[in-house]
Amino acid sequence: MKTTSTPEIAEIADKARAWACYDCGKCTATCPIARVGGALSPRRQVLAANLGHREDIITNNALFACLTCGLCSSRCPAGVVYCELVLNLRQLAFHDGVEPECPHGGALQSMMRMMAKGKTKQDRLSWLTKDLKVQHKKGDVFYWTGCTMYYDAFFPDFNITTLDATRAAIRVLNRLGVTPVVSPDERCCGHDLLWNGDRANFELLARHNVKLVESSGAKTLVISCAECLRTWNIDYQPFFETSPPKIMHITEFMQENLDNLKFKANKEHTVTYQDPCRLGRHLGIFDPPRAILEALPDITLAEMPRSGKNSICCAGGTWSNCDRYAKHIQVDRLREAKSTGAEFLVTSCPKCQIHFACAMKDPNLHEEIEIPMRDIATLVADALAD
Amino acid sequence: MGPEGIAEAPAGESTRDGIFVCGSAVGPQIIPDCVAQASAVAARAQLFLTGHRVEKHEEPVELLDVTGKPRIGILVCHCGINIAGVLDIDDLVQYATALPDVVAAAGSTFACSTTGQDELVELIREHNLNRLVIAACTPRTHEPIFRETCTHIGFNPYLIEMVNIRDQCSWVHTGQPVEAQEKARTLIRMGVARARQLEPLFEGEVPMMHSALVIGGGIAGIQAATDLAVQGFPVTLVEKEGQLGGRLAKPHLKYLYPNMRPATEVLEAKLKLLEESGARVLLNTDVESITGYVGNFEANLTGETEELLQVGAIILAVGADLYDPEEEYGYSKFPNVITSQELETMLVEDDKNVEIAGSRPRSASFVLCVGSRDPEHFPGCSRYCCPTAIKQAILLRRMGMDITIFYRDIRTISTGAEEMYREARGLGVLFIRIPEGDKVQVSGTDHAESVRCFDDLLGRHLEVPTDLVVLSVGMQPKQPETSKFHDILKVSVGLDGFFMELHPELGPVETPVEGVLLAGTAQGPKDIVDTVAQASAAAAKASIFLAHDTVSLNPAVSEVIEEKCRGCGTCAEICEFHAPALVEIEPGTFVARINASLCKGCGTCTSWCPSGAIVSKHFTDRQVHAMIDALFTTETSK
Repeated sequence: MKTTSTPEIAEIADKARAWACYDCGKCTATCPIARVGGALSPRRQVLAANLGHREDIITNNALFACLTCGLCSSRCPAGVVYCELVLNLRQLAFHDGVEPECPHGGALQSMMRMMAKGKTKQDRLSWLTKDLKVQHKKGDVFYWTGCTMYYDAFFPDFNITTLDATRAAIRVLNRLGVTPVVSPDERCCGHDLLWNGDRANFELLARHNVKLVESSGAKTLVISCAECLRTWNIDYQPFFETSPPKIMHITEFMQENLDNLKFKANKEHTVTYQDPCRLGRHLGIFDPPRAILEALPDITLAEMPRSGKNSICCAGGTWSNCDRYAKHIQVDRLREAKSTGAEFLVTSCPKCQIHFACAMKDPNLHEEIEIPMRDIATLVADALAD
Repeated sequence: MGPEGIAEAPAGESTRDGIFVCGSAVGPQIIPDCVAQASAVAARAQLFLTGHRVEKHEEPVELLDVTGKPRIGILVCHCGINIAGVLDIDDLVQYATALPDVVAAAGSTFACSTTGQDELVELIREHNLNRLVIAACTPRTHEPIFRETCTHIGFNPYLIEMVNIRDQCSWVHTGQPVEAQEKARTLIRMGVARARQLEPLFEGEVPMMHSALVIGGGIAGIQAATDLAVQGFPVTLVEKEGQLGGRLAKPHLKYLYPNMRPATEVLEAKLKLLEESGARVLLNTDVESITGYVGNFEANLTGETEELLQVGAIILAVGADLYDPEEEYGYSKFPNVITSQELETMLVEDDKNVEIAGSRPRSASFVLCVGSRDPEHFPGCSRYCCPTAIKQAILLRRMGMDITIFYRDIRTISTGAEEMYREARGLGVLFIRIPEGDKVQVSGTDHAESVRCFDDLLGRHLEVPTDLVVLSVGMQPKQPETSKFHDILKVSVGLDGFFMELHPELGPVETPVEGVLLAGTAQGPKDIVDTVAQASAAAAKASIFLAHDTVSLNPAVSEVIEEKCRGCGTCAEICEFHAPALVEIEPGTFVARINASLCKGCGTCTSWCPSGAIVSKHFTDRQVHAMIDALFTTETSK
């Protein structure tokens, strides 16, 4: 076992601009976890990082309590990149044998690590229906499915089908004349391992996936999952050997091709939109989903009081942080969504749906927080003119 | 002594006050019956020791310091030749010595013997150990012994890890000693890995109510209530019918075999003792629900008496139902086909003369195993029917009837029954064996005229003309009581539908629910003699709880880390024992809390909890993961 030294912490603190902190405390005042009583103070973490004491930052629970939602950074007047700080400190912690307690007995992490090792044969594409046109090896557009097929198998009692969004995305691509590459050899993007500090397994996945997309010859990579998108757009960049394809979120791709999509009149619906933190604050994609909703006939968007840059995270991003405070955040957020009068809560990340669905299983709250959820791509696919 | 030279003491009492006999000294019997009877005798002996209460007399022991880096000691037991006959103990000791954090390892001929325990204490003291691994037999029977020894010297008993190299190695792989050795090494390596992660735990305590509730006023309930009440424990006996006695009461039973004592006489004597004991009897009263746990149960009584009763222990003596033959053997069709119970009722009215539809039958046939030893109804043996049929056959034979008994096997297990069987044969009762898988046929037009059966020895069918057919009906679980108390007390029910004891030999009247005991046919078919013995045993076991002022709580249970709990309620939903419940800790925020008195430490909630908020103490994820990791690494270097 290697023990983290102070110089390593100092380097990380430096990269994340922790030195710039002037102790105003906006971050802690903003932090969703701190607001519901959780023991997390970003300000304290930043100060501890500057001081460089290992015990203060590596082995304290606050390191893994952070949602990495980025709300604090968006408010920081000194430009401290708090998520970056957490990401790198977690890697140090992992190196020292400190890991978060993973919910579901760590089963999801085990799945990711099995994919990283790559010795297990996946049955990844049996959900493809005959009406969906795809190819498996080469093509101009690669559609990245993410792990929705695993989520649906893992959470059968949540009454949600995250694969619906995956199928809907392909249906829309097909309508635009695109037959995307959907690969049976895709593996987990490694986002959650990376954010829990397991860099070694993340790198195995990154290398495999980058090679897979490169070998397809695709010029464009379209992704639905907000977390996969962040990973490809930022964390995979050093792994490309050739120039990377154009990486787009499904809503960006749809927005670019809006003129070629014909919609039929639909039943009128009022919806509200949950910005996934990876898509919004991490990548700045706030407008394309709203443009799509705007373009759909009979759909009215009723924004939540906290939306866009001020949006509140679903509080479960990396399959850690699952606790009383996360639940509190989810319940508050669902109440907020209901307060808009919307019939649907629309999002564009499968994990938002899973974590809200879990919160809705509360035995005491029921209709106070229950609201049907839709992925944005399914709204588009359903509205396509025949 | 009886004629066979065996002590004559059917219920454990000998002809001298204060001297009791039990086990095979009373008559040949199997281990579960021996254990039940021994407990019963202990209960009787307690009557002479009334007023005895358990007082804590332990001198406070100074607790050993177990903090700091793990210092693990290992004792590898030979178990005579049980383990050493197959495994190389010296090799295991040597192997264990090389494992990380192990500071001492030794072999022991019998670790559980007094000498073995002394060696253990010596090992702990000499090497200043703070973890202990015992590679021996099963923790189920032997962990309590090692824990007690360690407690005595102030070594926290939850810092012991037992590795079962007997059952899992030397016994099951006797023919493959090389592989067995490798497996033993692996198991020891895993045990050491877990030991490193063990944490000291401390038992909690809650006060014990000294009173008991006996449910069911049959002979079992009467006996159990009497035995407890005479010791000075407040006892409430609840019977839902208007009279006590169950199957012993009129008009159910005439004579008890083998002594042909009138049932009324026996019941009167028992009721007199019950009355003298001071037990409180509530008739026409039912138990609606029960909550709580050992030492602190609360029963909601309804009916003639309505109250909330608080008790420390509960004895279930709800009895059994008799099988209803319905259409079988022409029972519902022919008036002269009756059950053994109906015949008994006739005998209660007149034991010199039996009449069916105004005429006296000249012949009678008994059909045994009706509803017993029948995979469709009850696969087991009802135990009481063979002797009962023989007893009834003798009575009818004495009235001058020709008697034929159709049987599968004659099972005369209880004391004196075999002698009765011999007597019946001597009196000219005919016995015809029903072949395996076959059934007799009762035929007739408006009443049964004959019984037909294939005889294996003669190789042909026999047709026996008969005026009366008696169906010896077996026992069935009492319903709805069995299902009801299974639901509210979570007492296990076996595949046969009867309440299941904790362990046939180690706990024949106990249940997995502490403080709840079984008496009589609620646990399975048995005759009056066995019922009485078992009821006394249940009383004796209940008094062990009731004699204490406090109940100690097992610390190896599940606990909620409230900060991690999402309040989803899954644990409360799935727990068999109602241990977890949601509590509102601030407006709108619920967390689960686990009642340590109700929790069995089974870990079901721990594995279901989506957020990992529940810890099974003594079986933490960390401990289990350490074992799995050790399974897959073979490095032994320190």
